[in-house]
Amino acid sequence: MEAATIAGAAVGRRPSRLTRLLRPLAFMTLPTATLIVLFLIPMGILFVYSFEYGPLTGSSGFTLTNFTGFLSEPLYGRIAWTTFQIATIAMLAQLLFAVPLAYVLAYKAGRFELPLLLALVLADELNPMVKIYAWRMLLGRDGLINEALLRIGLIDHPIDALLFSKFAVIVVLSTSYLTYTVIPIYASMKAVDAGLFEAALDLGAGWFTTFRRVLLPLIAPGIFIALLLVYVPLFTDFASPTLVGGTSGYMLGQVVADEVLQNGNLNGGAAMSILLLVGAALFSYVAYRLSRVKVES
Amino acid sequence: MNPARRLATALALGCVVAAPIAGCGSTGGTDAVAPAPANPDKPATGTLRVFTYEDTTAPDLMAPFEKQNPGLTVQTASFGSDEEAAAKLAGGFQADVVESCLDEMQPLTEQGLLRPLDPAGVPEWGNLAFTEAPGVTENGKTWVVPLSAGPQGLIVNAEKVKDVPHSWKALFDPAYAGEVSLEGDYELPAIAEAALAMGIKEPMRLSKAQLEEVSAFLDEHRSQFRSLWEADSDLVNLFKSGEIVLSDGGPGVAARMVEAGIPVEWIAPEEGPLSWVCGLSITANSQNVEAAYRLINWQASPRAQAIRADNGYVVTNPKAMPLVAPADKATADPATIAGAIPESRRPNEREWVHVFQEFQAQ
Repeated sequence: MEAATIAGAAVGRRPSRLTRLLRPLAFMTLPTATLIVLFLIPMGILFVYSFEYGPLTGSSGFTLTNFTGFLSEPLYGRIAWTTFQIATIAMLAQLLFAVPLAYVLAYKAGRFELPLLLALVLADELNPMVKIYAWRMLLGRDGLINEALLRIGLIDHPIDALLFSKFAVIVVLSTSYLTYTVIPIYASMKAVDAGLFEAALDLGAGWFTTFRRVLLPLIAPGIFIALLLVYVPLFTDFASPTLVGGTSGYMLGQVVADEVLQNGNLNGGAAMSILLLVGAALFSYVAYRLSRVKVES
Repeated sequence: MNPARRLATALALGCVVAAPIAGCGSTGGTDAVAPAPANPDKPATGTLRVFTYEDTTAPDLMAPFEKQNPGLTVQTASFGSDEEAAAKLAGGFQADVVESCLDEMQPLTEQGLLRPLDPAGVPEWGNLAFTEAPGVTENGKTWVVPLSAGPQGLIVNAEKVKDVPHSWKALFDPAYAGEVSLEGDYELPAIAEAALAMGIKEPMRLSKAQLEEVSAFLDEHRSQFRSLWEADSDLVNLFKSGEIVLSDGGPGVAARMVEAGIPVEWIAPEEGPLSWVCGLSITANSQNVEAAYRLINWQASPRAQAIRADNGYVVTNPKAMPLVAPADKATADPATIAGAIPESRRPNEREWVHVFQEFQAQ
């Protein structure tokens, strides 16, 4: 009798169907409410604003002019093209550095792996403004790079184009987001068995073929995540082009910031943000498909 | 439910939730002139909600006011621009006094967020500078009491530039190519200064044709500029690092540079310096008009104006000068804004923005 009681207590009463249905919902309540309050409602307001006339237009109600104004104006087409060029070159430059860096971290760093990873994260914790001003000291007319080049006699006059140029924007953007490019690629590399590289070498593949045919397809999801984390935000960055771009390198992020903060055109800024969001969603979808193709192949 | 329908439902839900928030623009205020207080010297009571740029409610400026009005509770909030202030007030934010600047207060007046005030309720009105400036009084209604100003002229590195220029034309002089900066945080300075350099007398009232000429002039001289500065600290950095020898800017930042050992000189250009002008206004739904006047009168008083001079601003009440600290006298002196062109509302402001964006996006 006693044994039967213990057995009954151990098994316990099976939760009712209603309890089983409600328990996951109870767990989801807080995150869902947070998501709604902090994300969906602001997004909804942004969406509504983008279809309303601005307060200074003298009109009210629904309108598409915030969108058509941007889409039909050649000026914004030119700014979008400049933004695309700068963001793409900055992203490619980051991948060029990030893949070897992640490889070293994942396979070659040994006991330095964790300290190096920590250093990479800590470097990102620096205030962005401090980093940008540090770059200004390096790239400036009297900066360290020009100074060094002058001293070793490689140049006669400081190179003005190092700072306040598209080049400067690309350099600063590339370094600002490098941590977010390296870490997803590093994480995907950690999941790849290093024995595969030895197998490829044994089968006669050179390092480039091993990289292209073995490593690259396996880290494609990591590159996809890095693109999502970095390439999309590059389009909306406005601090770097403002502070090191000079009279070139005016980007879409600056247009949104100027429309909202300087011109009080919240509706126009919202419309441009929605357009950027749509572009980002399309890009993410294409990048996702491409990374799937790589993995499946 | 397929993903597209899920998205559509989510967006529709967002709109439903957001619509009441986005639409809460009515202020329910009044446009009747705020009656002047019977006795401006009587301490105010109740609560006063003040919505200004941060330095207008700095502790050293507000502490004496609060001491004068022990029965008054003062609540302060700050904004980054009048556009932002207008958006918040239109959204239901409550304030009795708001800071208005002549060049950016249009959203406040256009949306009926201000209440006209009675200059008779401001005993110092007759002494203040810029009371005749465009935007202070329109169609017989006075919207703002001008309380601070900041002239914009030329800042020159006197060691590197031998013949110190005295004209806005210097900014566009090829002799300084690649060593010049322009204020870039909003469109007004670059366009107005280019217009003045071109010989246009009224830069705040540019016709469409004039604006096109200015646009072409700016584009033609774009390689002249090393950078567009965004804030005083940015400008100091550009001079200090040797990137530029000439820029537009105010006497306050020039004085700070001199203190830091940078050999610059501030010049009031012969075509006339520009000057931003800001002051206090009473909101359309102010609940404590007496206290609002009381604050305006305090900030217009020589004593409060002398405190503001400490922040590097030009006082608008010349009676404050004897009270200004000797170190601040040069920058605070209203003489520096003699003949200044107040930065004020432009009839075709959106076109100005477009011209400046074209200039930046070349």
